[in-house]
Amino acid sequence: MIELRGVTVRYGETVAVDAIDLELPPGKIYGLLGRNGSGKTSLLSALASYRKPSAGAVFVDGEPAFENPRVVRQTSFIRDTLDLNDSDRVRTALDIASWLRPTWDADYAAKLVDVFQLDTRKRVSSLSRGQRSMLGVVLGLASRAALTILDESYLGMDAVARTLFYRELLADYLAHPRTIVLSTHLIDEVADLFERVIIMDRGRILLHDETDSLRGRGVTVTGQAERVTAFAAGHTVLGEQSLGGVRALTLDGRLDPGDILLGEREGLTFGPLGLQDLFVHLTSQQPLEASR
Amino acid sequence: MFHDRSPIYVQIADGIKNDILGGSLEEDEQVMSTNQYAAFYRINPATAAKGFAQLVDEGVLYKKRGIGMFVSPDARGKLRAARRERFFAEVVEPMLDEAERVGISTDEITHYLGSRR
Amino acid sequence: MSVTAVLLRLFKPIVLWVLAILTAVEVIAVVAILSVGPIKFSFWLVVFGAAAKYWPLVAGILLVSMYFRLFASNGITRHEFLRGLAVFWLGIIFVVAALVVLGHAAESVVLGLLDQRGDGYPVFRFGEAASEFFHVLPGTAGYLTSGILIAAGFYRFRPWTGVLLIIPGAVPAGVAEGLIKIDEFGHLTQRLPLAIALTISLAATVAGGLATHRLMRDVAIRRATG
Repeated sequence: MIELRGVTVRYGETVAVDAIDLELPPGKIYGLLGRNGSGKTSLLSALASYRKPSAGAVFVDGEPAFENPRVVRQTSFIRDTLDLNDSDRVRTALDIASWLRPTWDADYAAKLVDVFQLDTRKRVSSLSRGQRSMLGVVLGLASRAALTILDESYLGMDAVARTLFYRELLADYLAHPRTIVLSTHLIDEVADLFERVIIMDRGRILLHDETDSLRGRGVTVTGQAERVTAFAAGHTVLGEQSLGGVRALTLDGRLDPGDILLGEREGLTFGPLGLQDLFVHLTSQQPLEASR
Repeated sequence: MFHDRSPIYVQIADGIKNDILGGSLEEDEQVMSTNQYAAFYRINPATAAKGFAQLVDEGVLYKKRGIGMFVSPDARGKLRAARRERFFAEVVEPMLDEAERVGISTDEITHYLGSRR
Repeated sequence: MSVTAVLLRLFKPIVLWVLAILTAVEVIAVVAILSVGPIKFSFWLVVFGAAAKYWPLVAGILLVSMYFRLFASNGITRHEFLRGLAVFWLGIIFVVAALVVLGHAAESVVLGLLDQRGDGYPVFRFGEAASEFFHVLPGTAGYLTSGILIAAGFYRFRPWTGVLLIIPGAVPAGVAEGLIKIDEFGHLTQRLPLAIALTISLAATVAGGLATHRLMRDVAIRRATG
């Protein structure tokens, strides 16, 4: 079990992560979502012990994680910038991982290098943005670490490379189940891979739930303004749009099928809200609380 | 492949039920493992497992320890009975609502149904 | 593989290149000087004596600014890295100081065989080897420590704070430089009795090591860029 207790990350006056408590049962794939500047990378840095929290601590199986060799050895954190020396060759970066990581799988790394068609003789500095990301994925997956954290590891990858990435990630997770935390902005592309979704907003956890239970959670109701308003009574409104006498409201929470049937009889139309749209509605507006 | 209207595990369960009803899955036939299913459809295995677990709960599938999951011998009959019950509520009623909205009388409908025979 | 072993593997190609270049410089320069007449000073002590200070300084900076990140991102704690670094530090200073003395010995023997030792050339004597070694070692240790400490200051703080910390960071190198040295004529200088000079220099170096530990023990792992 991975636990964050009151984890706070401050940079001077700025609070990037605000007293977060979070429990991550092991062996699951987590999707970490949040807008730019919501504190995702700071949270992940604390989770991976790359940064000592300004307050609070991370525990793995009850042990403090910071500077704990047992925990750190089983943690792999791949940042979008990659923690490599630009002048090193790809081969060297892989070698270092194989020398230092007891769980490193060199055969699997070689296979991934093949899949992504990376040239191991190239220097890290000469890789394209997408190739850097691919190298990051190789380093992250072949580490086979009990906690693998990939922070926006798709940057610069084209659609084909991203598909390969998701496929390899899932296949390797199925063969070697472990805790994987993936932060992403491309929600719809990967949402099906997440067992649980964590949404961050302004340094706090806005939501932490099973991905599947978020599907169909939001609904858009469209129709004659008065009827829509009447129907929405008692529901949390996430967003609204009006055009002439027509009103569209985005509601939070699963609707009763009977209510939908009744609504449809009154001429209302119902549309499902995808995870990405739900995320946008949950994190886009300032007066979120006000509309509740 | 999957849509956003309902949880994927529900869609998985519905898909397998349709396969059984449609005959592409025979009774006592082994179904894909959750891992195979997850890899094939690129979804999280826990989601797939939840769909399968629901089918086991409903008696549509049964488990053989260490081997896998199989279609229950009476699955097709049960599913058919359940769907028949829901047929009028879920298929006929909305049709009649729509008919009323556009002004088609019940007579017209029965006449149409009679002429199709 | 241990941190020290990995550091050795990573540094091996660099070290071999530096050695090859310095040896080539030595051979070419000595041959050129000998074409004029016998050599009156030890060229090895000039070139390698300087390199024995400045290369450790650079290596110390690289160890923190470039290599630390590689270890931290591959499941090594800060303390494990610092422990491995301490062993590597010991290895560097002993090998580098030994190379100064051994190179001087080889140069002296070869020039002796060729009968090209001019007036003032510091003839290598076996009995003085240990003394030479201990006049080189503090400088190498001090510069390596300062390199590491200054880089640790920049690693932990903003650039301007890092600049201010160069001054205290340079203390280990400065103390050793001021107290003990050897020049190209083989003069051994220590401003205080050797034992005291060595002790003060050692103390400055140990203080530098402790300061490095304070700076690095809970430092955030920096991003590669920015």
